[in-house]
Amino acid sequence: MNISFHTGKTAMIAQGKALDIYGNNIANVNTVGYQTLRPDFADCIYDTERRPEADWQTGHGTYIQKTDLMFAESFFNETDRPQDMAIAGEGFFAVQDRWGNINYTRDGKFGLTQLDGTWYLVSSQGEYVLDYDKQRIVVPFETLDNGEVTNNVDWPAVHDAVGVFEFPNPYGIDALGSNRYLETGRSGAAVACREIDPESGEWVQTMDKIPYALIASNVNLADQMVKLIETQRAYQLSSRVVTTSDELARISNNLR
Amino acid sequence: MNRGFYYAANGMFLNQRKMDCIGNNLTNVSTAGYKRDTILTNTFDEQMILVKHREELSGIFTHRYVDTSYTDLDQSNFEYSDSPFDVAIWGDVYFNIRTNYPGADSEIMLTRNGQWELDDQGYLCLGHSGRVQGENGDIYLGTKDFVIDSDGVIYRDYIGGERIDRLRVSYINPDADVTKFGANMFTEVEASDPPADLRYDIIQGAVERSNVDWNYELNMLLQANRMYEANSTILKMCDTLNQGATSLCKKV
Repeated sequence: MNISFHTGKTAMIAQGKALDIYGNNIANVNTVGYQTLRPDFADCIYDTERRPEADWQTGHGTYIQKTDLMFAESFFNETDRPQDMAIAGEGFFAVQDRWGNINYTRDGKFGLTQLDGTWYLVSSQGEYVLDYDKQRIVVPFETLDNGEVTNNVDWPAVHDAVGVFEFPNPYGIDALGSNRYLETGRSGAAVACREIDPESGEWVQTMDKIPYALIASNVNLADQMVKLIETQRAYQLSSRVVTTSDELARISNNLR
Repeated sequence: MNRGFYYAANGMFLNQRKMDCIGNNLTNVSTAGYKRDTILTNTFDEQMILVKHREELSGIFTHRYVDTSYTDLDQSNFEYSDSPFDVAIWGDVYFNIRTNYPGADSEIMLTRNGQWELDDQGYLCLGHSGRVQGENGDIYLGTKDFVIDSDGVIYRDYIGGERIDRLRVSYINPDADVTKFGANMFTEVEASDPPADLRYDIIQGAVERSNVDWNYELNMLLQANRMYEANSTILKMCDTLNQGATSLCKKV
């Protein structure tokens, strides 16, 4: 009967969730390679009353239909670490966890780790960074002219080896946390960003990698703050719907 | 017997319905492409009866009741984004979605919500509601590299590139009565192909916002609240009147 109570409730839930999403965006304003999320609202089902003399529809509130990943361009922060890398484009690094699962990330804060005497390039989560063939990268060391291997890492070779992948539809990937994303059916399979040059017959990398730099979060703080304020007001309005419904109930309760 | 009782109860009922409608508008301030509803309480026909047969009817029809809900199809403003999957319309046309709801399989519905994405098979779709329709049916993209021009023609990579399809749009007269389905969609009742001279623009990289005006709706909410209160007071007065009559009878 008194549906506006529940209508207000649905919006309070949905706007509360939207607040979570915007809050998460703002909290990740300094997260390397973070992509902004956006909630997408839809109206709930309608109840249609049809009578000879009357024909009207009553709505039942709102809900969040899905969230969209927003691929707005971001900027690069220069660093002094040779381990840091950024991608100039909508590409991803591939990382492999210890169970062999491959995930994708835009976070290029890499590091080195040693396993059974071999040095590997790993992500900030300690997962193996993969090359274009999705193989683990064994860190090369500089070799002197006399064939002696030094203790200095051959960084240009490392930067060259790190694989960059792109998705047919990057908007379809799922966020996994810790800067990682998961390939889904909607995103399509990841494709290595390289092609064979028809003239030389050698592999050419098609997306630029920038060493000594990190890609910043693409959260636009001004935009998110406006959304936050807007959501807060929308939440207030929906609570107003609930209190007004309550007022109506109070009035009818006081009839006698 | 005492008609005032029924009038007042009717007024309360009416304002309750108004409240439901305004509440739904207010809760959908963030819904992309939402069009606000208004409740109409009297139609022209009844007004005519009232004018023509005032003497015979002696006020029987002067109480109001919910007659119909009317959807205000006014254009709303846009919010721009960087996503190629955000598409908005300026004008009186609507995107076509082929729904995949159980029971409503393959039914075409209309929407102004342009927050699209690709489904598992790479077709352009609106959330879980269904696939966006082009002139040749479902639109297969499989990639984010596409552009839509202001006529709704979808090209691969750049405008003038390989032509994929053209977005199918339907025209609804802004004064027509539409039926809402939920999930931002209207059922295709009074839609037709857009007339040749109709001006409309399709804008990629923008989303049409809800056309609900907070201030107006909040005012209407307060009004419904007070009208409800006033009607309840009338009901109480009628009750007091009856009480008075009963006690008078006792005395006699």
